[in-house]
Amino acid sequence: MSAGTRDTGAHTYADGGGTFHPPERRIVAGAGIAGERIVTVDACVIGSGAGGAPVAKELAEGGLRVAILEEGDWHESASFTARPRDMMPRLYRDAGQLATVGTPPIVIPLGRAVGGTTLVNSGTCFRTPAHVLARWRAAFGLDDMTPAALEPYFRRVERELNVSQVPEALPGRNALLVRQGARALGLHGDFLFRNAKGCVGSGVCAFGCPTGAKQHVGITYVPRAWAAGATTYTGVRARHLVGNRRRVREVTARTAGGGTLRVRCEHVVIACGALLTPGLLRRNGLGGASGQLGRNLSIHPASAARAVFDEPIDPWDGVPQSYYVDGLAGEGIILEGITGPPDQAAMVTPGSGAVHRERMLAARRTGSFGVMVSDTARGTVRDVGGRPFIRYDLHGDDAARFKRGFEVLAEIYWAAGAREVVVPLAGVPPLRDGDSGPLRRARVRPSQVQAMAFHPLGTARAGADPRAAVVDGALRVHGTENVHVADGSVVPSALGVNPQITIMALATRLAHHLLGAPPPAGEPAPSRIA
Amino acid sequence: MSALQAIAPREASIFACLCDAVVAPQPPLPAVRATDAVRAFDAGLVAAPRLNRLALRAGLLALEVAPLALGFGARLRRLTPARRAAALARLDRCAPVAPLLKALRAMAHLSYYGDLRVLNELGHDPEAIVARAAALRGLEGRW
Repeated sequence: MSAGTRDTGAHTYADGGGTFHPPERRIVAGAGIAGERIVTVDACVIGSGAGGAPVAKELAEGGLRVAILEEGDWHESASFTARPRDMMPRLYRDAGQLATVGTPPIVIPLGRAVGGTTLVNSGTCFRTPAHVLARWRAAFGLDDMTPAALEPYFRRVERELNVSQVPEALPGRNALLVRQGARALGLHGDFLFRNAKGCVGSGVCAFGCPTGAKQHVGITYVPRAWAAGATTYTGVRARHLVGNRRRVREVTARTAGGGTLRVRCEHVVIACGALLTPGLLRRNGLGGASGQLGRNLSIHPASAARAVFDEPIDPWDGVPQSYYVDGLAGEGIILEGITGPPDQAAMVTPGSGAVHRERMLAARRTGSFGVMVSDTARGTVRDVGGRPFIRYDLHGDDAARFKRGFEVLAEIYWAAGAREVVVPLAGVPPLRDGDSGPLRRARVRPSQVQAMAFHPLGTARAGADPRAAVVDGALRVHGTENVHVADGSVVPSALGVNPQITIMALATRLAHHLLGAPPPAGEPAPSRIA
Repeated sequence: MSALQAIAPREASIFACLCDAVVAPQPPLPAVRATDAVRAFDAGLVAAPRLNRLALRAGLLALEVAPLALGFGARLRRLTPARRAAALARLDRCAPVAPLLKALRAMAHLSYYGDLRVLNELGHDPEAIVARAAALRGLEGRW
């Protein structure tokens, strides 16, 4: 490939042609494995999401024999109904009911399918902020995690996913109103960069993109891995890492058919995500020496205000997460679009009975926008009966950040012409006619915040010191020779931005390390990127 | 109701009652019984972890008898709509059960407003989105 520039503008985003299809879909359904099956490969990758899929593809293209183990299923775009209610039980882990235990309880929706959470996320792409990388170097001894060193990996990921900027025609009226308000207040914002190709603004990114426009790793990296000879085993759950404490030589998994899959391998890459990877490691006596396994959980808590306008804005038309305001980034707050169809809105619209009904009847005139907080609090995750038990209490400083974010968001919405703004802080009444006073005067405690979280990180954090980190700078589990981790659990601190391409870049870097290959050369520079 | 997999008919009836209370449908919105809300709730529970399923089913049964304990004089399903709303409001302020009621309320809202007729009434047409997507996939060879 020749170096040069890759256009990341409107044309690239909107062009739906040129989809890659492998000669063969190399999927083996675990439901069809009732007895014992033994396969021998070079690398066994556990998980097919943001971490697992890139590592598998790069290793396979590097000449290794690769098996990808995935607990969920493969889903065709043709099976997506554009109806959140019906897609959640199919695509989300625990039907979207996974939640923290603490104050307040916080739902953490995760994907459970080929593609992992990238199948059901909003597709927003931010590189790791430079100040975050500086902290990793200073606090965790990750000396080579510099923007320059990671640049080739980000470029590759961004090209594979067609990361490009939402064009003027697709953000939806809700986002345009927020842009109008932010501009009036002098707050910086921009259209987001997303992994999309031929997007037409169906408005259901988080429930399976029916147009196949969202370039989740299940339709980008995984097919490339298949073309290079890798095989995906769906409906299998890894249980045991067989070997000794330094070297694993076999992964055994239970299949949906009641059988056992045994994968003999030279390398094991665990990519189950920040909420599941610690349990797998701990069950197998790995990664626990530092005492940090399952700790340091950051979740990037998020909440959303709703604003009622006089005119219809049809918030489900357009890209749900298309615009952001980063004028408060220095305070650890970012505002990002979040809208969806009425059933999704109904779940998070406050009130009950007639109050809720009247708000829903105004759904066409109601916009919503998210506040995401780079969290101060840290939680823990441990395995209880094979399931993640997540303990997390929102920190008072983070509750104050939510209040601050909602104050600014309310002003943005007033400036855009909203009649009413409803913030999901218990005890704060609906704000009306440009008056944010009740919110400003409120003293907000963590228990009052109604939040969700989409970005769990840090539970097997990377660091040079084996006394303080679970994996080293090369993402190898400290104390082992051939067990690596490639998912959000290795990210050692909160990012303050959506983490998917950070995880993918680190996974790509891991694959090159395992192959003994230099960083990707010749990847084109993006014309613009965030 | 015969196709229900996760909940018993009695639990389905209690859920429908809860749904009616928290949605309070009036025209143009259809009555709960005219939607597939109960079936959708059941499907959600089938995919939920066993512990959640048990907790939510137990929550429904507890919700049915809670008004008796609160002095409303009848079970949830036998209360008038106004008394039912009052009972739920009391339960919202009862710390031990409030989180469970909140979860059930969210599921009731999701289940009801995900009905196709309800979506259409609110101006949303998922079938048009799916049809456009099918055309694009066919035309451009997308996944």
